[in-house]
Amino acid sequence: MELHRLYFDPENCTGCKVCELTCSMTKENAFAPILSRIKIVLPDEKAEIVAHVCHQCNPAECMEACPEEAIQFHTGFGAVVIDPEKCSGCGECIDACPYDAIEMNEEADTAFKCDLCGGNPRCVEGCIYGALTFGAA
Amino acid sequence: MNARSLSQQIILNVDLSAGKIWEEPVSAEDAATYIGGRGINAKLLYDRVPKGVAPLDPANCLIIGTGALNGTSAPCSGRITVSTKSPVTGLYLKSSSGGHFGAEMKYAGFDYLVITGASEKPVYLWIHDGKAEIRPAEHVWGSGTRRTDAWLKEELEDQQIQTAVIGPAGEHRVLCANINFSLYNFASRGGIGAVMGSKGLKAVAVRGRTGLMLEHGARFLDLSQRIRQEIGQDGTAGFLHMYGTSGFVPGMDAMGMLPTENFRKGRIDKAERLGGQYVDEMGYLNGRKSCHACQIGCHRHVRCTSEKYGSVDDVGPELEAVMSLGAQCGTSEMEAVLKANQLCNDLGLDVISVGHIIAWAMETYEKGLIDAKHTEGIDLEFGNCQSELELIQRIGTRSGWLGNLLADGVERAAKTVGGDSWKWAIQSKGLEQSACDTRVAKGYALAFALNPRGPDHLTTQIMAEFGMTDEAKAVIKNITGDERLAVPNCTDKRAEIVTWHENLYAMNDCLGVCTFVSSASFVMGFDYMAQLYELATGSTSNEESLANIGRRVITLERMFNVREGYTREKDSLPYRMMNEPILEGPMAGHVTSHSELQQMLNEYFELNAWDKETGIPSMKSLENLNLIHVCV
Repeated sequence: MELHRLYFDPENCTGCKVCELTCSMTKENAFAPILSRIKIVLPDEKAEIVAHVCHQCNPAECMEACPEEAIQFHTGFGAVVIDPEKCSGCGECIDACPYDAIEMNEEADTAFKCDLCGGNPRCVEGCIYGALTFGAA
Repeated sequence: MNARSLSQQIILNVDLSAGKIWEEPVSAEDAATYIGGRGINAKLLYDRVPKGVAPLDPANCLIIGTGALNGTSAPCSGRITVSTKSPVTGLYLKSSSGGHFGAEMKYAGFDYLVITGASEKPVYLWIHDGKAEIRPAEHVWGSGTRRTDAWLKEELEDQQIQTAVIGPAGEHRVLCANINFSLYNFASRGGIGAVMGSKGLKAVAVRGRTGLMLEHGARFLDLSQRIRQEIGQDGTAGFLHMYGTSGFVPGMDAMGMLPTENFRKGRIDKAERLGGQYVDEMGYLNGRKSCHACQIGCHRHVRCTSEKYGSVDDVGPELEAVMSLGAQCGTSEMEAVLKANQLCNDLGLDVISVGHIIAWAMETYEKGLIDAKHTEGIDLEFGNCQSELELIQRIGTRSGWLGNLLADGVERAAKTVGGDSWKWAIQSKGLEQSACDTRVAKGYALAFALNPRGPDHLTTQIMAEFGMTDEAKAVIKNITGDERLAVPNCTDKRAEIVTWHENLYAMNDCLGVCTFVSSASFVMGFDYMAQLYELATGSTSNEESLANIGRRVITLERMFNVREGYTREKDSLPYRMMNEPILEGPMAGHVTSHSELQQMLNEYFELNAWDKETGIPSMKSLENLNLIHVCV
């Protein structure tokens, strides 16, 4: 199985937030950046812009931390995927993630993260500036 | 999920005198009639600021309106409108700003912020997650815009808030003070920052976590993506991304249309040093930034250290800044202009007005109507950058006799100084003109004369009349039937060209879409905007319906002024534009004469059914636009 992941180039990022808008509409049917699986953050004015998004790790600390075995590799397109049906909302994966890439959907009480959109990540398509690419992990 | 319908717009009212805050919805009828942004703002301003209210009186309203598509994936949809009655003209004022404030305000649950009254003590508004509070701002009253933004982020323990702040200029009610939105963006012109200062309002901070639901969100996203790809292929959009707006400087200088030394000349030595290309070559460029959902990314961040002018670490400079603070003040030293721009940004000053006010002062000094006694020791020769920097500081804080005089703009300054100084006060209706040569660009000349806030290009961006690209020529051909009219120095069919562009720009401002994607690059015109609006709201839309709403907004704005006593005599241009040509270079010898202007105005009034004698929209035009209730 070959894992894939998103790569972020801060040099090309202008902070337009199209990736967040594309992700949240694709996954949640609303423009709700709070629920985007990718977050573009300027920590402060002097810092470089950063992207908080899953690195699709192998081994994945979130997977090891999950008491419900809700997080598994999807071998079809090589991503680390949370199954919301199995997720109990305990938040252990969020604490375990070294990249701040997992968050809690307060209303649904399940954790969410990037699952690479079934192999064709929409945020990459949406970024005309070329700050996001998709490749082997 | 915590989300609300994009179509259900909410007004947040704040009365700073009474300390009261309350919400109300925008009716479905108003949303259909005015769409959003500038349109709803215009209606609110007309309804709530009656005739005769003094602009710096608590009874004036300051309205921040989000564009109807703010917060969505619509390309370049970050624009907001700030509306009020101007303290420098006494007339209608709408200002535009880009950035991310509009999106964040929508996510916080509000679409319009209407501020009335005045607080005795300095305050700021904290708007977040459906709630709003008035909080003390004494700690930052007196601070520059940059320190204020940082303080708010520390105070609210959140680096991701969006802010709207005034600097010392707004606090001092300088009549060219502006409002700064999160460092990069400004609602400028007409002293809009002075209105905010008169209310004791130092800042507004917003943060939100509510999503926006659309009628056909997935299809809206797909259409956004297709338009985005077209913009990505567009030459003008690409140019703006590479070099920023100041990238136009070398071309304008080559055409002899770079206004220099208070519009006396059309070219300046070493003009290329004022261009975005030079900023890049010199290694001053530190980043290219976008507004919300923007596909162009024309904003700049710069870092520069020079022996003469010290260090600069700030946003910009934009085209108008390098023209007004640079060529108009007789300098092409980019390092000085970067410093001047940073000073203006931090003081919260409109660069267009400040540069042209200083240029007037320099010409007045040259002609001996003011001297070292008036300038309190500084030598105001054209090109003296240190003097320019010193004067900016004085204007921003109303310091000294000259600083205080200039803070009220060139019209008032010329009245005080007297003699012929009014002739080189490049203003109309009391507002300094932006640096487009209206002696040569006739469409712009007509648009500037008609602009309800005063002579500038931010109500009608007629780049198409320069015919610089095939797309530009196609736009002119589409409007007039003849692409040969895509030359600036031509009065033919300007009424048609201006009317079309006014309607387009008004619709841009209602939706919150940047004019750069509609009338600089021409990718996103009425047709795409109609498709996006229909997918967002379910409301059937097309070019005609949107152009009609644009016309309605323009007409309502005109009627606000008419109610204040405005007639066609005020549809005018600065004296120099009508009487004094550039003396040398490719654009030598041209003016837009009184008779030329009257001819174009007559044609415009005829086309739009406004009374030819008074310039007042006729009953027939008001009826057609469902505006009969604003008949005065």
